[in-house]
Amino acid sequence: MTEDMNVQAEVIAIIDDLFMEDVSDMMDEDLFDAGVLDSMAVVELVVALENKFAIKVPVSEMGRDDWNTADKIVEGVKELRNA
Amino acid sequence: MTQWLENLPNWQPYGDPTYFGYLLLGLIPIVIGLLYGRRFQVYEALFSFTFILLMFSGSKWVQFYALIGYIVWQLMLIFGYQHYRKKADQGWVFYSAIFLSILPLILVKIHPVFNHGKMSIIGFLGISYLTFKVVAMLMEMRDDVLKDLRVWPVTRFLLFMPTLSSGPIDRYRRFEADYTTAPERSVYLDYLQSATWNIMLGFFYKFIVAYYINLYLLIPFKHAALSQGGLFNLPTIGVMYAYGFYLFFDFAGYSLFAIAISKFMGINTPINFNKPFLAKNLKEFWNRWHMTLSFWFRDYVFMRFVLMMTRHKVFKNRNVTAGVAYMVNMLLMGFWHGLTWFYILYGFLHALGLIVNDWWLRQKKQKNRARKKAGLEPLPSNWFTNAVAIFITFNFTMFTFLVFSGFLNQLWHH
Amino acid sequence: MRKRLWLIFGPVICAVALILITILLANPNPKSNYDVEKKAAVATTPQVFKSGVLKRQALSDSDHRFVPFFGSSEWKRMDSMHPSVLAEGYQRSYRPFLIGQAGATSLAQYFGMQQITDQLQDKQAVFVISPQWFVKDAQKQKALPMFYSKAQGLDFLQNQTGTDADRYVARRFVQVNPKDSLTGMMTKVADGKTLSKTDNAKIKSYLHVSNKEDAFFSTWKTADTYDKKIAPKAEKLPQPYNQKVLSQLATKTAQKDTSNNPYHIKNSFYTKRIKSHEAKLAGSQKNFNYVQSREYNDFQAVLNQFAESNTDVMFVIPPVNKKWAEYTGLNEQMYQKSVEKMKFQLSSQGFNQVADLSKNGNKPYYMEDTVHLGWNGWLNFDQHVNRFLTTKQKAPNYKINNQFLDNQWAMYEPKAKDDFSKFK
Repeated sequence: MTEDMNVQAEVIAIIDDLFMEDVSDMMDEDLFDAGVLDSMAVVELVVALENKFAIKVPVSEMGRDDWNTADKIVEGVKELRNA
Repeated sequence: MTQWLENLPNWQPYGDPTYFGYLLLGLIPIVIGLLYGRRFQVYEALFSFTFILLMFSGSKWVQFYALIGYIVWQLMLIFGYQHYRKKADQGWVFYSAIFLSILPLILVKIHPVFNHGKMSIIGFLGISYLTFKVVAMLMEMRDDVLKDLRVWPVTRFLLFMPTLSSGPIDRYRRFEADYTTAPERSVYLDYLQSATWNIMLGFFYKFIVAYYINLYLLIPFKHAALSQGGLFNLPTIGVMYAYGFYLFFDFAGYSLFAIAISKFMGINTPINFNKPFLAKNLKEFWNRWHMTLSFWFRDYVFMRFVLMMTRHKVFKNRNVTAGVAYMVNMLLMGFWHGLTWFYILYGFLHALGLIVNDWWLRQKKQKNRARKKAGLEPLPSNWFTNAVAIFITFNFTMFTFLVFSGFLNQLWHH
Repeated sequence: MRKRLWLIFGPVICAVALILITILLANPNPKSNYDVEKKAAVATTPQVFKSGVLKRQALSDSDHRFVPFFGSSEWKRMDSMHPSVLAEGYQRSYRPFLIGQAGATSLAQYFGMQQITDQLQDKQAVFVISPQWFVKDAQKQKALPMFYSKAQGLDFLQNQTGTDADRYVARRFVQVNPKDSLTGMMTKVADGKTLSKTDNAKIKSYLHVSNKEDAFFSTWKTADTYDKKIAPKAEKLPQPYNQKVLSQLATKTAQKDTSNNPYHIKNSFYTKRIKSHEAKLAGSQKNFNYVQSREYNDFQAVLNQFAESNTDVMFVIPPVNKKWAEYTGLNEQMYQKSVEKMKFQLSSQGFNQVADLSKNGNKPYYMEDTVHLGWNGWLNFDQHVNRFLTTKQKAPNYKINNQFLDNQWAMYEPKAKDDFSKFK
């Protein structure tokens, strides 16, 4: 449980750090529509997540349907960590 | 065989109302089947084969052989690479496979430059769109998300008739999922409804709007501009807007046809245009204009390039990384259109535009963040700023289309 | 499901059925209607050019004699001495049916004529040949799509009998329209093959539908040129007809209308088309060349058609505005050479009705602008044409020479005082 909370906090911190946006109150919103993420940003985010959590995100998975909300990103990271 | 092919009539895809007549007639069994949840694969294959054959029959018979040769070549590459990928994953093998799959397209693009504009005999209508499909597949195979491919499904994906000649560019996994599961009846009825609407809208776009723009604006403006001559003149501005709109209505109309016929066949081919001239900035424009091409470049060139550069920390500054990636991405798109100065300049201008756009959006974000901390309202964003943004984006893209049209080349060298 | 399917396809099916019924009910051979015909005759729009129905309706009207006047941009110079104004004002026994506007060159005219071969048979016609058509670029025929309609191509395919001229035209068609839906059949004709039975059936059925379509839309194809530009001017002409009075009037009007420039070019033309880049145009036509052009071959196809229809044609060769030609550096010698070449092509085949106006470019107020007849020029034109159309003419006797379809003729550069013995 605490570890899950950590992932969420870390993801929010990374997004805030990289893109100057606080997403803690919009975890369920489409980050592309909100203008937080774009194709450049999503790659930066992936690289940052990979470094932070020691995971490897397959590039083909970075589509706009899979990683488009903060919640989904958190879920995705958790899954990859457990894999 | 050749003689038989030469004597067949030639039907260019979506060329005239008669073509639609025959096409819709051929589609009837497929539609009935899908209404009852069944896909007649053999009939569908025959139907597709016939219409593809008629695209390349008559005086275009050479292209038919070129198409066959091309498909055999790409299948060999895909299955050769799949065989290899099961055992190993070396970078150079992957890059060689990519190179070999692009090779026919490169040859076709280079050939006219050295042969007074003559077409290469290995070229055929739609070669670049097929190349996009194959390259995407190879990349996803390396990522290990595409595996256990079989010859028949790959062939029907590559040779999917409605989108063969000019897209939209579909993705294998999406297409295959649509193909293997016939849509539910209610979903399929929605498809039929939107397909009918798309065909009607396509008729309006391509055969009415684009036709009249060409006849009453584009041709007269070109004529006037050429007779005035010089480096630039007023009618050339007319050519610029007329060509931009002509290009949109012609190509969007075509795309609507391709999407509609796909839907009749139970395939939800992605859309290609979404009100591009209402884009508020250049990045948004590329999410609305020739979308499947732009998304292809985004996913398979831009993002991979950025990823590679970020992972290897090539540049410290993320803005430099983004800039270089935009340049590579858009120049490549320019080269893909053809090896002429105006296509390449078109790519360059868009790269430049995207870099400026990116910088501006970041500036705005920083300012708003600072203002928020200081307790100030964010920078104004209302109907007026939106109108200005749309106006600037629209005119910039129109100017790049003038470059793209090659008309300046004609104006300066005629 | 049925209800939903009907909601989706029903409207489309109904619309298609309604359109088909309306169009198929249209009559492709409408009765004579002078009001429609006189409007179509001076509309000078591409729509009328393409409409076989309108052209046939007027040219076969037994109560009113419309004579086809083939030409191009000059027809739009509708000043008070325009041939249509004079014919109307003086109630001549004929009315010009103007066919062509800017960009309509021989090949476009040839295809346009395919729709009226019956109406040309043993009748009279006037044909203005502009040397400006005879440019090097003529092979590309960029303006053809403006004037070409599928019905013309179908009529050609139906009319053709595989002669050298037919094969030539088919070859040109394929060059200019490589992607057209008729290209396949045109290629067969070009290669000297005969069309199959299915081909002929196809031509017939397409033609049937397209004539119906043409008939349906022809009502909306004319313009209001007659009411705006012809009738008011015809009313103001001094009665009765008097050449001297007309000439004085023409000069007076022209003087007033050409006051803002030294070239005697109509004011509005000068302001709109020249003023902004006048300096750039100095010497700009120095290298113009009308002597070597594919157009000579295309023109021969037109002559073949006239010979085949036994049409008695008067050819008019207009001059260029001398003052303007001097300013732009157009080579008069070259111009006259091209005229000689055209005249040889005509006379050697028995086309003897030629009004050569090409040397009149320096007569006062002869041209309305740079290369188009106006005022006194139109009066002069009218004298030739009126005499030709209203007095008895000897029956023509044409001897077609297919050498004129060869590239060798197109590229032939006449010497000074050439007798063209190579092509006799």
